[in-house]
Amino acid sequence: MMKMKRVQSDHEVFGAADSEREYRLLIEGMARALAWGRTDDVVPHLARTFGAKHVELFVEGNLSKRLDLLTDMLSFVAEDEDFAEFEAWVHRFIEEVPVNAYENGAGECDAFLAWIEQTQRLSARQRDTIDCQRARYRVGRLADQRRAEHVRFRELCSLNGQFTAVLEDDLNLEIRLNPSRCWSELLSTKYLDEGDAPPVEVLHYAVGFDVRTVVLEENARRLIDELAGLQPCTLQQWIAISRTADRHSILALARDLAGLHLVAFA
Amino acid sequence: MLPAIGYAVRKENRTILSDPALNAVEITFEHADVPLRMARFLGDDEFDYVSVHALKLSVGSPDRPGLRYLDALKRISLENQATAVSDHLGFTRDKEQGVEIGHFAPVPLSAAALDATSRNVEFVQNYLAPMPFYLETIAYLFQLEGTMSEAEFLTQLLKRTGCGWLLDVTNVYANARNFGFDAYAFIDQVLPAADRVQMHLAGGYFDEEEGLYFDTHSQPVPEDVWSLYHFALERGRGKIDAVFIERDAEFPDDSGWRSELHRMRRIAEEVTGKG
Repeated sequence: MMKMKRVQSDHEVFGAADSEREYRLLIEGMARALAWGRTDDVVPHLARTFGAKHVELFVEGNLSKRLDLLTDMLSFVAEDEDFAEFEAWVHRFIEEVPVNAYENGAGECDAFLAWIEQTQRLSARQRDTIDCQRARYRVGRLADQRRAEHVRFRELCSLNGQFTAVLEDDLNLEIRLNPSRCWSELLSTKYLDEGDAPPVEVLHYAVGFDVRTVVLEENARRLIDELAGLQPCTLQQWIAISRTADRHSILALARDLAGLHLVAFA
Repeated sequence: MLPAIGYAVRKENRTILSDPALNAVEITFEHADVPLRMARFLGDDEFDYVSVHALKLSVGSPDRPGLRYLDALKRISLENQATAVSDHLGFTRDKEQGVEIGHFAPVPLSAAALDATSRNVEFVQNYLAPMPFYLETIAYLFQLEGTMSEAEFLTQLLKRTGCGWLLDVTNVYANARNFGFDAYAFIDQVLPAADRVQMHLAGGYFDEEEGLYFDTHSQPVPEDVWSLYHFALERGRGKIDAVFIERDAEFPDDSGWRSELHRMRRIAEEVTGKG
């Protein structure tokens, strides 16, 4: 009796595992077929009364929504005179590359811009447009990953006016860099002021709901890198350790960066 | 019990959220989860009932939903003091690190799908507790081969998991109209299995060429859906927690927004006898 029960149980377990495996294969197959618009792969698995037409409508609806999202969210690229082939590229991208699991709108746009970089021969002007937009997505991801730090920095930034007035007198203030920032290099004059010659390193960072981009002088870039390696530290410590600048230059830069919301004090 | 009444929040209807007829809102998780945000999505506004509506749990997938997505969903829900969380009965991806379909595909109405979906729903419920979780009936354009009816599947799923039912009245109307079943009978069969219910109302259009009703959330709620809503309120008396109208395109003017809101409340008051 015991043996019989055991055999039954094994069979049931095997049956359940088998059924689970089959279900996994079915869903994976259907999801991929629908993501790539392969209607023919779905049709054999349809319930009676449903046909290819229904699957095609589903797929067309998805592709159309994806097209609308990319065109809408990347309108500044779509309308840029340097991107006359935008529409054709979007169509090719949608046909070739499915959406990654859990991808949101920004992630999908980033994936499209990455695809353009990988598949097209781009001019320096086109590269700069794509680079700036992808940097915005990177800053957003950083803010998301370091949410507590990002929120704390934004709160501290609201005190910048008050603290910059007393920097000279209070070198024990801690200085913090905006945690949601990234560097990139511009290769053309498209976004540069007259007199700036590419290539130019630029800094992208979060301010409010926006991402700003600044061109900094060589000395400021060096000091920001230095601070990034030192922080958290007080102004006094930075001045004492710095191999790049003296007290006067550091305080002057700290004031300028505070005005840009690139640093805050605590 | 009068259900909480409100709208799915869009930037186009923010101005009418202070209407006294409204005491509930539904926020779409993907709209609220903005990386550069400082304040919560709802700002300083307070409501009796807030529901966070997710799009990518994919409870019909063989894998359970990813913790990163669930963590973010829970964080946004807590940030906005949500009463409840919901998502759709379907699958949107092949596996965890795989590809997204783009829209919810209906799960096959089979025992294996019921097992996988129940497992995922239970996992989500445990993760989000004490916030109750509701599962929405989707509008579909096709069904995969299965062994039971949609009502049977849903009934078993609700009984097995104890999760709430987000009865999208327009989705049921669309499915019934498109594929020839009785929407009233469907609701009548499933409602007893649900301990708690939310409802969605919306309006789409009938495409003469395709012979199908599309739930596009772009039109006023049709009369047939108002009737079904009335019926569902009567049948679900005592367990309808909240009702939301969804609108995503061709937005009405101020009076259009308010008129549907007031009608939704008036019907609920009539049925429950609470004015």
